[in-house]
Amino acid sequence: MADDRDDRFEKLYEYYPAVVSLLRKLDFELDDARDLAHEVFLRVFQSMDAYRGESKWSYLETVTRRLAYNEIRNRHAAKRNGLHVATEEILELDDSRTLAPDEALRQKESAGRLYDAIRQLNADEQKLILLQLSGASYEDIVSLTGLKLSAVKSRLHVIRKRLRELLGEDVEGIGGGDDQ
Amino acid sequence: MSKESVAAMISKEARETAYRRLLAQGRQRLGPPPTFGEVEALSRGELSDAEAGRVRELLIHYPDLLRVMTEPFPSTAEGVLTEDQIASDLAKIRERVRREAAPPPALFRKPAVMWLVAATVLVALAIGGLTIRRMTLDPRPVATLVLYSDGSRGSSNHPRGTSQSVPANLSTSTDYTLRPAFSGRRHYRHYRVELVDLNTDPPRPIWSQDVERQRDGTYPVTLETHDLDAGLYRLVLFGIDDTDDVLAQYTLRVSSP
Repeated sequence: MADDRDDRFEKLYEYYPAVVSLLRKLDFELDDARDLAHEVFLRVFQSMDAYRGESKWSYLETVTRRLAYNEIRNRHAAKRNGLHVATEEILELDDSRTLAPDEALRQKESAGRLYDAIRQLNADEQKLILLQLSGASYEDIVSLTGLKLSAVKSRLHVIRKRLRELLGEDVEGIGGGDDQ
Repeated sequence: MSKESVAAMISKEARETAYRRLLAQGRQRLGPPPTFGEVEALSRGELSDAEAGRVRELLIHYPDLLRVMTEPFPSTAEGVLTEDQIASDLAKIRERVRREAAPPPALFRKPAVMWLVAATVLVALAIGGLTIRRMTLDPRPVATLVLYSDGSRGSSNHPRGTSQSVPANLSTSTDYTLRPAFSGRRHYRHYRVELVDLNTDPPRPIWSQDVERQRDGTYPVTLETHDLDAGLYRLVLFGIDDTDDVLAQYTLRVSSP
């Protein structure tokens, strides 16, 4: 039985690079990704006998996503508890250091106007625009909102027009149609 | 505003700054991110409309967590790791498996004293052996068994004392719907049971399964016994949120006919 477990584990281990690759795509540093992948495979090994056939791969994927999710969620908790300097703060610090003072001021003013304009949109429009700003694909937006693809594109198009009216200028990377 | 600035677009950098402010403001309003269990329940359509809306809105404000759920598994992973790294990582995992198998993590997370007490207090069970039914297509019978945790005093229909000394008896000729009973005040997002083989030295986990809490405070799980050797086993119930908590343990004695 132990040999059988080992054999099945070795087959699953063929997916180890894919697990590390996924974690890297989720912005884990290489060493952190490898540590987390160790944890994934440790748990999978401990539960090998419960999973048969096709469900093993599904279990591996679920464990990977669960551990990655909890790790990132814990980081958010640490930020809330003041254990980390928020990335946002670091980025803003970097922005102000690398830009000329007048450019930094102009950018801050633009960001403030955009923030105010988006806050004037209704709640559903704000959710859609936040999803687009996050870099989510249309498919992901459709999946999360339950809207049809055509409705997503159409609403984002309307939002872009509305923002243009409010701001008097376009916003880079915001919009509908087939530009994503 | 000058004609030149009207013609310009709001830059990517300004857009990202505004986006971060919107996220921060939303997080302050909405609170901490949803748990993995909530997101899974959302994807399975198990949440009420109100709960689903809340979880969706939270995910929108925690896009890194949303990405964990949506990022596809890469079809190829060439170049991520060298062959040497893959081999050395496998060796490290095997070493961890060996190290953590003795003692098994689920049982030894608690202080040693707790473990000794728990180990000497065998066991709880109520043989609720309640229903045995034969499946039409499966010749193996399936019995339902209510389990009371090791050290518990039993319930009103379970005389005091007997639950502390008698493991639940299982036979390899029968499969079981086990209903481990546990009535904790805290509700976890996930529950899981793990079966630990006590016949090996050290004991080792051999099987686990997600379970759902029922209204009657039990966590039904199907256990197929035909591959089990005769001897003692322990079923461990975990509550899972950010951490895995051991909620209760149930000792089982498996015999061959």
